[in-house]
Amino acid sequence: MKILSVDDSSIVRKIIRGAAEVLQYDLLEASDGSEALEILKSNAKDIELILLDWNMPGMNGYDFLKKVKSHPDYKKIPVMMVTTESEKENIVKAIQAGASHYMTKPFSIEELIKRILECLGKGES
Amino acid sequence: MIKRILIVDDSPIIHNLLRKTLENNGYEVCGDAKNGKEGVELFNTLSPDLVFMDITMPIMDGLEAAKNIKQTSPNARIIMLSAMGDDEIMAQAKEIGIDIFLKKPFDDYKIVSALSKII
Amino acid sequence: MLSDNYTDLLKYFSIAIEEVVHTMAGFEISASKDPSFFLRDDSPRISGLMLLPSSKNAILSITVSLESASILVSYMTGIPVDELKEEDLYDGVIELVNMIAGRAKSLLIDTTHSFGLTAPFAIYGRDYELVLKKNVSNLSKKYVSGDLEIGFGIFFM
Repeated sequence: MKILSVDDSSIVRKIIRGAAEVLQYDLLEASDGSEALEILKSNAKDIELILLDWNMPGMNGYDFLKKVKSHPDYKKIPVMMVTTESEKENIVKAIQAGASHYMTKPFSIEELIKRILECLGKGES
Repeated sequence: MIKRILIVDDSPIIHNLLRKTLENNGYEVCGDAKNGKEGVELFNTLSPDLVFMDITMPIMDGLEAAKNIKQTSPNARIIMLSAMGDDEIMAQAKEIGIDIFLKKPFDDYKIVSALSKII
Repeated sequence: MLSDNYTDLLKYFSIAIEEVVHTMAGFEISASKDPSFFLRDDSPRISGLMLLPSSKNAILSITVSLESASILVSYMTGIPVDELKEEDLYDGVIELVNMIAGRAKSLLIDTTHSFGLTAPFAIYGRDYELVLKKNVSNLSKKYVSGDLEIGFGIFFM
């Protein structure tokens, strides 16, 4: 059971790792969209959730999201945006592109755990 | 001699931090509780040598839990984890015999230092 | 634009920095009465910086000693201080400035202040200070929690 974290900050990925450990999920990490696509190639079947930042160098979150949601093997994986980006129009853009959840930074680890459970369909919504 | 420690705190980060520091220093974390009620229950079943008790927690807070524990086990060793603005609660804790506090943010050195104050 | 209503700006950036540290690190910081935002000693330090483009451009900065950075990152990640690498500290300070800017931007959404967010970065060194020419407007403050100090500044270009 795996979660994929896509964020250019190693610290954010470490924080997410803490949450994944509590939930007993393995965490796969990518620092940009291209790395994430590579990871998806060999791990898509096991990945139950993608946590995705919006602002990243190289391929940004939005473009990665569109690629994932148009790929037959990846499009069913739920994606939660985890980002400082709080402008409503960009939130709408992300949802319309297929993100199922959106969480803004800063977030507490308790909130992160709760939201991950929601995305996995195991929490109370 | 202190060997087995119970951590009572609603933050998984604090649990992680304390656990790793304690284990690195040769202590054993025998239990983790997320709130005061669980804390009291685990204290009764595990009889740890020491409890790290956070103050602000859901269901039952740290002061309440500490009072509970001190009632049944007056010699229980408890270190309270406090944050800014907890002065009044700390005063009440002192009244029930708790005299070691760790104020957040505390680092590994302060944790070990607090432990060394316990006889 | 980042207007001259500095009280508003400082108020919301203050809320942002306090919220970010409290949410991410789990402890509270408060504004120090010390009028200087320089750190109290000459120990090695890290500054997280972000350019805020606007009709009046500004640079946002937070400066912390390595020790303070270690505590912050340790509390954010649950990793004990002695297991942290230097890159973790740079990344941590960069991410903090990222979140502070992002949070302040949303808090200021209904005001006349609007600015863009850009890629944050950090500088690291020993015993440096951010020094401004006399006529450069700036907002600066120091935040503390126990031994921890955070020098906070917005410098208008």
